[in-house]
Amino acid sequence: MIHPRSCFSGFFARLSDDFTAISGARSVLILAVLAMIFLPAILAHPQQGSDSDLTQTSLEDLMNINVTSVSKKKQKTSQAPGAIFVINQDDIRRSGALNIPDLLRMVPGLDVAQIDAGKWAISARGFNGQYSNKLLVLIDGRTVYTPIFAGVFWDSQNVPLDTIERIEVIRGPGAAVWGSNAMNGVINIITQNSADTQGGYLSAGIGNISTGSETLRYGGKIRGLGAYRVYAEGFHYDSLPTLDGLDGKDDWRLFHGGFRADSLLSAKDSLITEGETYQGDAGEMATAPISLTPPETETVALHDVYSGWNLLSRWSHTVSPRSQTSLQLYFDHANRDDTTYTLGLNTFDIDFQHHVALGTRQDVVWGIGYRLSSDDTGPTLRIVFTPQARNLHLFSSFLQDEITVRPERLQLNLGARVEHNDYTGIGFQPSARIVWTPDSKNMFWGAISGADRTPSRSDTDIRVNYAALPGPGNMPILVSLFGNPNFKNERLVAIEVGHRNSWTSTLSIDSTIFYNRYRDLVSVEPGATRIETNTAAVHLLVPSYFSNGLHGETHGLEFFANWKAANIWTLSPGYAYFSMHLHPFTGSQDFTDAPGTEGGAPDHQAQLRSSVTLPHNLQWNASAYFVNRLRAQSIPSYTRVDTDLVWNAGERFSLSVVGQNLSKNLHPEYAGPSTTVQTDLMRRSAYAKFTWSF
Amino acid sequence: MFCVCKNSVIKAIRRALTLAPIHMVLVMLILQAPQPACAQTATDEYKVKAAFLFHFAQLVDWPSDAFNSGDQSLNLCFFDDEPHLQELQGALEGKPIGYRVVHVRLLHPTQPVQGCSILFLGRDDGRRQTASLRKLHGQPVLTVGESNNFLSEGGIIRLHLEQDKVRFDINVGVADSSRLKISSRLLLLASSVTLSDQAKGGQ
Repeated sequence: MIHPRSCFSGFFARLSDDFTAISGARSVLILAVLAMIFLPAILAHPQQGSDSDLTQTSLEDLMNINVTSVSKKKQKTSQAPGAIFVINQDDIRRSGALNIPDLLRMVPGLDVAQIDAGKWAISARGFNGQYSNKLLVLIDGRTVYTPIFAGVFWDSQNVPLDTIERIEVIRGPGAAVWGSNAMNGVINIITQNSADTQGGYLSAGIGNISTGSETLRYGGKIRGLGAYRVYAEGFHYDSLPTLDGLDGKDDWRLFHGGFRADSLLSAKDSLITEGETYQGDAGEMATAPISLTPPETETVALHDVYSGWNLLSRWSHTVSPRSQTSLQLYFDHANRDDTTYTLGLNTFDIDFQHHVALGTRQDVVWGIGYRLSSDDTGPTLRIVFTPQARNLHLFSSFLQDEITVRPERLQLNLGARVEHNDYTGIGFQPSARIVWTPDSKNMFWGAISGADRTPSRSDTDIRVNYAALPGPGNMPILVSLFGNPNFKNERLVAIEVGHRNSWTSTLSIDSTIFYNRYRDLVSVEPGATRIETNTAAVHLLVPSYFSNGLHGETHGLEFFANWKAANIWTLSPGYAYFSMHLHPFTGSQDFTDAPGTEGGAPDHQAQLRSSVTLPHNLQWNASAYFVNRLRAQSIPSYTRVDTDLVWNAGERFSLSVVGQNLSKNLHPEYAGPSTTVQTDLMRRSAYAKFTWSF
Repeated sequence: MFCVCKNSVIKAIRRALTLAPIHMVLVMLILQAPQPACAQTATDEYKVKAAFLFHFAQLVDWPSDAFNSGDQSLNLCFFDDEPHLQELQGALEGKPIGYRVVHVRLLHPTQPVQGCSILFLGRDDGRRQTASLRKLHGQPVLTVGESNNFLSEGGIIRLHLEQDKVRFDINVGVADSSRLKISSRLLLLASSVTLSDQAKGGQ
């Protein structure tokens, strides 16, 4: 067992080590960056600021100002008692982040590790990997995970950060509301209402890793109906070095564009329509079998090419002040391939929800939904799906009831979701949550939830040929992993307790403790070696199969606070402890996956973010993230330091300079086992960004 | 290339789209929308509303017992899940009003409302509005809200939009029973003034 005390002191010693290191040679870089920004700011004429202070405008004049009207419905989730962290626009502006994964680093308890320039492993509460499959990600209500492996291709999913309204991150099961896959968490990305993005907007950035990024956006009004925006964004990331110091050939490019329209059809009906199309490519180095004759297996530079489009529409109708309905449908098309796989995917989804207040004490949301996922894969020497193409139907319904037991004191939330999928049939995922607010400053909550991770195509239908080797008597050996058509749901029962406290108006604290019990977790079982003759070269096959051979427990603690230390200074510390124990069921012969998964998540993560508002319309933000070692992957612990300085030159222009990874140049963050690409090293980087609103 | 397109998905989509021609109309509208529609620059709604709150604070007189003696701050309360908190707080925190200073206080959604000189209620939560207004009835707290039934439920000033311009209504009856004096300048600028304290009957 690990003694928390020793780890704490170890952590702080390390942190201070890092800071002393920074004050050494590295400070030169930081100082140079700071000087670069401060100089023009100091030289510039101080901004008057009165033009933006409307309180100095007379009431009569105020009444003549045209305002952008906004009608936002609060999302139920942001009020929900639970392990929720919300990243708002201000956090985004201050973060200096260039993409969504970088932004997610600020969420305490979320495990964000970059693999190469365009690939990340992101998860909550363990099981992290390039193909993490226990986290649900939604963009404006559209599920962006792929049913091929039930995870997210982060390289093709991006939203211009300047159009994000907020990102809600829920750690812990959300399956009773969101469905299977929301097993260990939900990331809900919500873009701004187009009424809030009126006029023109241009941003351009350049740096040593993000070698170019441009966003162009324009928002206008639809006569008598509402507002719209159209946008396009393109960026390029330079390749990172490999562990051996060679070029990782992993440069990443994405170009995407889209629109969103928000309209009021009547006083009681509103409609959101949005769509996007994207195209991009990313390199990677991967070890793959290329032939059954020598040289069989090589580390090759692959080139992932992906494209797609999607269209979503949501109609919300107010039946009465106590009853609202919404109907949402979307279609999503995605293609991607490199030379070792091809994949095409169409998703059609329709969802209906009804929110109604019953009596004075009950608030009910229920809904039904249907999703059709239709894929087509191309067989290659590396990856084969059988069958090659498949249509999958998912039927779902859910009900959530918020019951006020004692007004303003005690509340009980009961909910359940029933789903039917083609692999495992009907599944039932319930949750119960109790909320107690003893006084004005404290809120305690506790929850018990059941969640399933339903099989994906890669659990049931895949064959991956990992390696080809020269064998005895000129007969090659092929090492392969097979999906299991009888793969069952991975199941979870989670118990969580949390406390939120606002001691004073300047300090708030949020802490959560959880205990998770998993059954039927995926294992890899060895199969009998045999001779395979159905290909050109007869070879010896060393197979292994997916099975549900593991069970186990995880527990942990997540803590964060927000402290307004002074009017101009906010400090946000966070800490997460995590521990996992997995065991094989009797009969399972998987002795390698359990330690790999156990040691694939950091047991300690800590962070400190600081944000200072300076004179001359300057903002200075800095953050330090400590991630403890990944013992199964020989990834040493690291502390990542990011800082940025933003100068708002009047209402229309802003200039920011960002330094990332300042403390530790060339460190790896993730190295499998759940990854198929070669790990690259994170480099110290800097970039500058300019924005113009017109 | 994939032959997925030939299957039923596309058919289902076509059907769905023909069922909802309004979406297509919208897309076309977007593509052909008149460009100069927003030549007139618009200001963020809640920055303007924040300025209104500031003026309300200046043009309303509180009874002397409404403040703790020696306390120089005028507490302006928002619920901490108010979606426009940033704009409102940013514009108002620390602003001087007479010899007092505006201090923004954040309330937890489940905590009782207390220690507020002004309470702002966004338009989204009907149940919270009813409960808060009932609780504050007769107390010297200037309640400012946005929902349609704000005045009839016992609120004092309701903000609303009229052709993208901010307007307000005042319920003087409730202000009187809360012992708040509203300046005549504010009453003159209001779109409508209600005299009766209807909320009394609603308890």
